[in-house]
Amino acid sequence: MDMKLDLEKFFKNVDIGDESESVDLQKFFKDVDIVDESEFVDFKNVRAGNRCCVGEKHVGISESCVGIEEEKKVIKKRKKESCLPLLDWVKSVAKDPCDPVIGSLPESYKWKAYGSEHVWKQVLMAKEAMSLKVNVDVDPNAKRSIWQKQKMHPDMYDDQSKKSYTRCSQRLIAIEENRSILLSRKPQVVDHAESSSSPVSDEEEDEDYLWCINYRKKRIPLGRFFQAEVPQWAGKTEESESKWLGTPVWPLKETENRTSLIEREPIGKGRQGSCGCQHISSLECVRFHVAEKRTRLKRELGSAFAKWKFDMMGEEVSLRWTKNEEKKFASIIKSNPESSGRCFWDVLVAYFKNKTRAVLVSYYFSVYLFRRRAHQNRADPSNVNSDDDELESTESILCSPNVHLKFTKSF
Amino acid sequence: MRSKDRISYFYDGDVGNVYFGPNHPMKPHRLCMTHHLVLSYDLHKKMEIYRPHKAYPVELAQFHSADYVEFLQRINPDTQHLFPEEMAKFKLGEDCPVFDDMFEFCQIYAGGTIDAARRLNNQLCDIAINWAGGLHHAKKCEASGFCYINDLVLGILELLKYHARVLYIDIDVHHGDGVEEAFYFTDRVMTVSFHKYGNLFFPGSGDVKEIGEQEGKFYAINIPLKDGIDDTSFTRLFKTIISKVVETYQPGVIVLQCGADSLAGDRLGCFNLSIDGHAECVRFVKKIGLPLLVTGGGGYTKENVARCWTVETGVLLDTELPNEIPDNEYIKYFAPECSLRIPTAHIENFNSKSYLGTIKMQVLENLRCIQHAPSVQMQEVPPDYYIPDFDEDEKNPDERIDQHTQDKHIQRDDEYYEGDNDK
Repeated sequence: MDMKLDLEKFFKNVDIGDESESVDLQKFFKDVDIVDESEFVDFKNVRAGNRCCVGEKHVGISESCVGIEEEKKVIKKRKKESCLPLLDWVKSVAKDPCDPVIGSLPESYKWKAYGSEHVWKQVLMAKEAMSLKVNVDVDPNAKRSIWQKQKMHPDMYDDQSKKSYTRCSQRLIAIEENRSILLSRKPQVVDHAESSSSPVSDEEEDEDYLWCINYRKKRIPLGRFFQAEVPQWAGKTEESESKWLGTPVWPLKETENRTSLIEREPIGKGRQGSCGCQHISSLECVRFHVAEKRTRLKRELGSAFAKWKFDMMGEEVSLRWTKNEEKKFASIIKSNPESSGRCFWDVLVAYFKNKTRAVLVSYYFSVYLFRRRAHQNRADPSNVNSDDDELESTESILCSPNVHLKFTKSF
Repeated sequence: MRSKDRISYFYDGDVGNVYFGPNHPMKPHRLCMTHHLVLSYDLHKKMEIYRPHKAYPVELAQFHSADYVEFLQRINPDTQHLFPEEMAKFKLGEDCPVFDDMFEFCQIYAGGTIDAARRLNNQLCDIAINWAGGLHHAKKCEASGFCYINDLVLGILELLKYHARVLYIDIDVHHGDGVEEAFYFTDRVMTVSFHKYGNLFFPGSGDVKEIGEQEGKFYAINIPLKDGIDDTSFTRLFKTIISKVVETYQPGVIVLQCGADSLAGDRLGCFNLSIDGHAECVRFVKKIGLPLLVTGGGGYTKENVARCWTVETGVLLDTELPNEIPDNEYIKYFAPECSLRIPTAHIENFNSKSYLGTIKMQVLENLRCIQHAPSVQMQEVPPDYYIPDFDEDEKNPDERIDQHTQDKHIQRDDEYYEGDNDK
């Protein structure tokens, strides 16, 4: 009986259910028809600050008892999480409802008389609350609620033979799984955990986990704000606009005056192995051949050359820039790195008032980056990179190719 | 199979100078480089090149909401700070910055895809290419993942005027969520996306279990993949699934998004495909022989994007291109090797045979749920057998919903499924 008194004292310190009520231990044991409470209670594990094990064997209230002494503050927070032990209790009942230790429910007409300190009462209240929630969420006028509410997913109907519980509502199981998986696993699942050496069950778990994440966060919304309007198909009734079909640019019109090419080369010919230059592949050799090709292309394309803005591209763009302007351009970029917090484009636009932004962008890609890349090719061919706007910030590419703006978006 | 496909290719010179901002990975200048490379191989001599019209706001609003289009049209970098609410509402800024000539850029790339669709509808070509298009993340009322206007949805809506069923295939490394969402509840468009999935990889959707809903159930197919998939695994899976899809769905036209970020060495991607592997998918789809609309998409290592789309232009033109890149304005970008092909990386393929097998099985299983369409239009539901719409959520979720109630289509006797078919 000393044991019982200790327990009573213990429960009085614990806040379960209404704050005004403390647990009536005798009533609790009577409710669940526990004949021998020593079977139910394992005193060895009762430690200050640790889990009280009242009902540990069959779970139930145990985890919500946590909060002795220094953890009392945590109780209120844990109350919200108390449906986890609740579900464990449900699980154990489902496994073996006839287990005499678990006891039996009072008659249904007596239920109202019982408070929420009783585990079984909590279960009934939760079930009622959930079925209410489903109906409340169906509101055709609330656009947002349609895609945020909990929805049954076909997967919930699957026969989850790998799971141990069989008699609980699928819905409760699924909810519990969502919670327990999300709480127990960190979102940063590193790729090697998904490696091919893992057995299939790991991958299935992965899939379930991922499904949980995405099911909760990325459900496809339905409604006029999301889908395209697709009419019923009734044969080809609507005429596709035949006016806007694109303006022909190539091949050139018959009337256009074109200088015929002297040489007719086969389509798709690659670069020639050798040329007549003194120093093959030198800077001068490359420049010469590129210029040669450019001239030929210009003659061949005729009006298309200007339509495609080829006259605004290529290193020849620099011919319209003075040496000083080119020097200034490069120095502005170098003195305004991303780390400085300033954007070099703002400075460029402010300085080169006589040049449009289009001209600046064209110079940037056609000349500045191009020359930088040419320099890289010769200086360090194994480390070429023209996709970083600044040579300094190579970290993002080399270290984590997947880390970029797209991942600053939170789900 | 036609003896020779007529190709219409769309390009506008103004895309070259579009600039998203410093250190933003999306560089429309890659389109310029692609075009130069295509020309350097003289491929322009085998096709017709058009400048697209700039899509009007009313055309963009065929899918997007009018207020979103209107905002895109009037906002610019100097005034964006005055509209913080709208900027947040339409998800502009950060990934989708407001930059100079942004709306014009949208009009060009969307106009290209729409014009391409129209040319196909009017049978003026067999294959239409718009490398500037393929921005598959944009949603009806918001920007996403560097995409502002969803040209693919607009192009598909255009194609739906002439075709009962449109098949959309997406080989970008990111899930084609914008297109899938737009057509998630209809069976007139089947969306098939191969993409990286997991580890919170953008956009986070695209699980194999996303299969569409209501009338669109089983008309969305997702093939989630892990890092490092190689040519052999990818092309085998692609061919198996696409053959089955075409055989089952029997589309009238195909739209193929060729995002090049699924290539090895992409700045944002994580697959290990070579250009030949990527192009093999394009070759396979072309062989099917249906009218085909090809667009670009992602691709954040400019030189590889240019290489890839040039090779694929060659594939669509039945022209094998030699590996040595001819002299052109951008030759230095391809140095020092100046070769068309790129090496794959020595990275581990995390897609085991069993994993790929499981995915394949699930996809094929879902495909079996779609009625074959020999002479019966998919949409035709004779009144006698009409099953009214229902909202699953109004029912008690603990009650099992049987197959009959879910399906609106007539099931042929030999295709009747016992029990629940939701997998």
